[in-house]
Amino acid sequence: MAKNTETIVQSHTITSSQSNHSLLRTLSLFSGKSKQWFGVGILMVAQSFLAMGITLSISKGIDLLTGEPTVNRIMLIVGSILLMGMLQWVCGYFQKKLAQRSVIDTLQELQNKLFRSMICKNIGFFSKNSSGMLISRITGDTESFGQFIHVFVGQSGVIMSIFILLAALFFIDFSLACLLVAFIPVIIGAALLFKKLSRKVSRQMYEMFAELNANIKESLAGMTIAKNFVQEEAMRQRFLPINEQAYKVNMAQGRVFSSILPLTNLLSSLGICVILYAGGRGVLDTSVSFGVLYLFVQTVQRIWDPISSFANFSNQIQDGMAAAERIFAVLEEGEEIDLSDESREEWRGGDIRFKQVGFSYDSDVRQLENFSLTIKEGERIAVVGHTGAGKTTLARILLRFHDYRDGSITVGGVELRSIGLKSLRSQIGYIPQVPFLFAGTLRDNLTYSNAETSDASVWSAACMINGGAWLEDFPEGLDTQIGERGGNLSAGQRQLIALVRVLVKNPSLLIMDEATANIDPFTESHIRQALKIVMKNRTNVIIAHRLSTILDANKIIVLSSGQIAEEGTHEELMVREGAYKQLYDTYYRHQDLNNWHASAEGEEV
Amino acid sequence: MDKLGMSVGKKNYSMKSTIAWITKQLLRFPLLTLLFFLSVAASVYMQTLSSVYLGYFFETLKLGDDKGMLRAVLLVLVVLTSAALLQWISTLSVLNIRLKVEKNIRNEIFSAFLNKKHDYLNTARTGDLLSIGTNELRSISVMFQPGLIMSLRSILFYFIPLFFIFTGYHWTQWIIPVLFTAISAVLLVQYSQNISSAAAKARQQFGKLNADLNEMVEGIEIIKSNLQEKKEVDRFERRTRSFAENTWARSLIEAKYLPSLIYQLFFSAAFLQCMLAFKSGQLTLGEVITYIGLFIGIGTPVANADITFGLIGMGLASAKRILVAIGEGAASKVPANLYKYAMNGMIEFDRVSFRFGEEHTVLKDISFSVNAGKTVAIVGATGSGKSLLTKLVNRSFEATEGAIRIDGVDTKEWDIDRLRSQIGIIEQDVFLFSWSVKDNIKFSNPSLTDSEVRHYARLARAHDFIEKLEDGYDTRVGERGIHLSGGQRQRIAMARAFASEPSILILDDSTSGLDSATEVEIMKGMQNLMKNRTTLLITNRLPLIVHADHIIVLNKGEVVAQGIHSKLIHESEVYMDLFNQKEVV
Repeated sequence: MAKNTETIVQSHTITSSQSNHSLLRTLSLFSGKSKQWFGVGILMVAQSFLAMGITLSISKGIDLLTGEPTVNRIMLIVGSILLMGMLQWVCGYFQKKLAQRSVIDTLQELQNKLFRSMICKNIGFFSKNSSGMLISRITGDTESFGQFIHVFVGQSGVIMSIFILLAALFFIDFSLACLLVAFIPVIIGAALLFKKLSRKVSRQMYEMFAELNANIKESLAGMTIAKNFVQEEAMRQRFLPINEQAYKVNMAQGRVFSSILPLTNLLSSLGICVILYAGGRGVLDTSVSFGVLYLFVQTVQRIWDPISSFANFSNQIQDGMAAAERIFAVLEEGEEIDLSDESREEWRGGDIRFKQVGFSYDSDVRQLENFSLTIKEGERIAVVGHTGAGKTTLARILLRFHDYRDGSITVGGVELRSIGLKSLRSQIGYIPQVPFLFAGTLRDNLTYSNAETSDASVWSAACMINGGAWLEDFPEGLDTQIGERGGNLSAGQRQLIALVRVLVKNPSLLIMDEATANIDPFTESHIRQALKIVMKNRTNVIIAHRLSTILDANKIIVLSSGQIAEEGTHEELMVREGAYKQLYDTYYRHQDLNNWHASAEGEEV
Repeated sequence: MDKLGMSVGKKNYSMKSTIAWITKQLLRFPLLTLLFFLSVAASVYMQTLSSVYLGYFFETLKLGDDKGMLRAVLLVLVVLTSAALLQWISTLSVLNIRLKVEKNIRNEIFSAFLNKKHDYLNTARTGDLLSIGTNELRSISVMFQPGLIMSLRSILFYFIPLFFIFTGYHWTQWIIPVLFTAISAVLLVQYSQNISSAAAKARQQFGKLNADLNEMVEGIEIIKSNLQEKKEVDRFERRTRSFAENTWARSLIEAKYLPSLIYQLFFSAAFLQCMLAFKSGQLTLGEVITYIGLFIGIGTPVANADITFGLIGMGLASAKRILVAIGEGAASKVPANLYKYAMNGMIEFDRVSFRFGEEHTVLKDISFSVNAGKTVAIVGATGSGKSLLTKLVNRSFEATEGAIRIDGVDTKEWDIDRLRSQIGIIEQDVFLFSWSVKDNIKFSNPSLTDSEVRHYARLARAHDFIEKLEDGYDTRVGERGIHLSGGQRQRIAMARAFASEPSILILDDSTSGLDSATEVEIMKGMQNLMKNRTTLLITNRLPLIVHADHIIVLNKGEVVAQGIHSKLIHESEVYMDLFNQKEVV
């Protein structure tokens, strides 16, 4: 959990030099829509001018009131106010539409791009990053990035209109405008002070929230245990102080943030009065007109706008930039070898030969070392070994989820690396340790490798296993909806579906990582029968966890630190009393009922 | 398990009761709430008053009244600074209210969860529950601040300037602001309805997008090994397209924000009327300026509405979800005068049935009895109801029919705390807290001394490996016990169950992928644990089944055979299957 907290905090503490850089990078994501953004900018400037024009017209109207206004002049001024007001709305309408369209398009493109980029990464990318994190790259991060651009554009609009305003004010009355500008250092000072304060308290708050949420999460998960042991009160006692602490930290942060707006209002009311007094004197000695004074009074508050909006939006800007950085990190990471390369060799089947293959992930630890092995076509190979011996790596290298570095692997004499991924993977059926099912119908899942498969061939595959009896659990047959990730199916049912999926695909090589999950003996027997049928007429590499699978294999490969320690059949290896015998005694012996008996009873406590 | 969701009664909370609940939360701090309302009202009043003094200021200028001008400036200064100070008071008071309410609701949620029935906790996904305590609460929080303060100010800005207009101007000047207020209010309500339905649709699409992504990430190996990247990309792009369409629909509503156009119209009309009134001598310059200032004030709700409505709407929707979550599946109140004695451990199931909802029968007519200190093994396929059967004993779930008696007393007549504290449970999915190993073991019995903790750990065959951990008994387990192997976690859970010295033990054992040495350790621990205790045992370990005093074979919720191993192996076909197929040897 501590680690989690750290990353949250880090993402909110970008230094200022970094932040300029990441601001540019973040904005670069919108470069594809530069024409649209130019249009948005124009429309925003137009709105600023119109707003300015309206205030100016009102002040002209007030000037009229100091003399004898004619109805024509009144109509002219009011008419111009009305016209500018409508135009302002229309500009706003198109500006919002244009901006929104480009944000939506950019985000959609970005989401698609991220998705395509992710799906093309190699498997290492997925094992390195947690699924929650990857998902939030595409959803949460693109969303805060979208908010960023809204806020950024809005802020730029505010700042732009202030410059336009100031320019106009200098043009209208230089000395009053100078007085107004005198406030700017105060504004900047206030903004900087706030930035410093807010950074400190925000950091504390993020840490506190991470702790609070972790506590709530854990308490929820452990609630049943608490009830079973009648410890509800103890749980409450652990929760209360953390909640209290969160309250205090929130309060510290809240005090800072809640004070910004009233504080700027206080300062700006001082500003108004200074302008009122100075302008009033000007009016009295006729150097300033009524209308001009009114104009200054109406606009003096607006130069404070950047601070109040900064207070409201600074977090969103920071979040957005941090999100963009994370998005870049995903996009920049290297993709998989050659997804679309069609010119490669085809899979022609035959024996699979490993010759002195070496492989390591990023680290120094070699996963496979000097690994040589021949798998004859149609053989059943059981791979056994301790955790981390390289069993899964072996499977992944055959699928080219990872690429081997040294040595060579050939299939029927053709180098594995030169076989097109498409041809290669269409010939391999792969069942991971935890079979994965997609939301959709049972049919969708069984025909996942080829959606065009006819119902008749799905049925014939399904009926190969126990005469199709396993289908009885699916009330609507092939049309039964499978919930998200196989929702309410048992581990055993999921295994069966995964096996039938392979039958439908009918690959020439089956790679299966047997489940370690304890399946009840009844379902287990179904799966064992199914596996026997699936293994027929193809080459099989099974990472075995079941004693029965090992006993069924033509050859057992004992892996140890990425090398083959022993190979042979069960009987041969047992006699040898080497690595296999040891492994058998540690992992598999207890599956053998008779053997287990002896050992457990022998060591009664 | 998903079927359960339907049976958990969903009480319908109307918007009215939601608002009542929020109001109740507010009224727990009457003084703060009063201070908040008064300061907001006073602040808006002061701000509005500044328009009056501004008019007065211009009037003095027109008269060339030097002293009057200075007085007017000072009046504006006083009024505006006090408006700002009052605003400060109101934000600080709403901050206090917000945080206190937040804390209270969080406590309320937490206590409510502690008081839930097991079936609720088992059905609801932790993620959903967590979101109640975090996201939903956050949106209540922003509903208070800035939502509440902004909406209150908006409403007051409709009425206080109107009040000034009514008191200071001829009735002909009332017409335009009153019309504007009425029309814009109607438009705002319409707008908020359109926006919230569009937002709901977009949110729904977003949920689907999320689900798709989840599948891609979790199923990546299968996607790749079946070469279906293109299909997944197409599917995802269809999703993002419809998500974009929904967002676009909402953006169009936002862009077509009519109230602000209406405001421009009415403002022009009001300005025109003022100018003409001035010309005909009905208004002075100062009154015109004041009127304009007041009219700008009336426009505040229109300027703020899009934000304000969103915040309040979201907050209320969240409040409703919290309220539902708090109310759902609460455990029933326990009557007093219940059976509270020490337990011997004789268990008797008398024609027990269990149903989820009306139809879905999970257990049917189960009868058996166990003498104190004996072991019953329950075997059967996944979904045959094994775990559920054991959960009826400590009333995690209530039997629908029949009676379960412990020491001859119906469990419904047992004091629930006494009942549960004398039943030790080791669940199928061992849950450990992220705390230290010691605290985890002590959880069932917080008064244990360190040496007692060690004693129980030894009995559970956990002491040796705990000693080898980095900080021994003080090692933090980490979230969801990730640093420990399955076997180690199970042994800590056994020590925890031991520590409560239960008379009845329920052992749902399904730890898998263990090496033989660990298996042996666990078996020894279990044997220690089961000694002299009535044990209900669910296990796939055949040796343990063979040695049980009594075996119950479940099939689809019914007992198809029961007895001892030597009897069943000859008589029960289902039981024979179990042994014939488990081992090929």
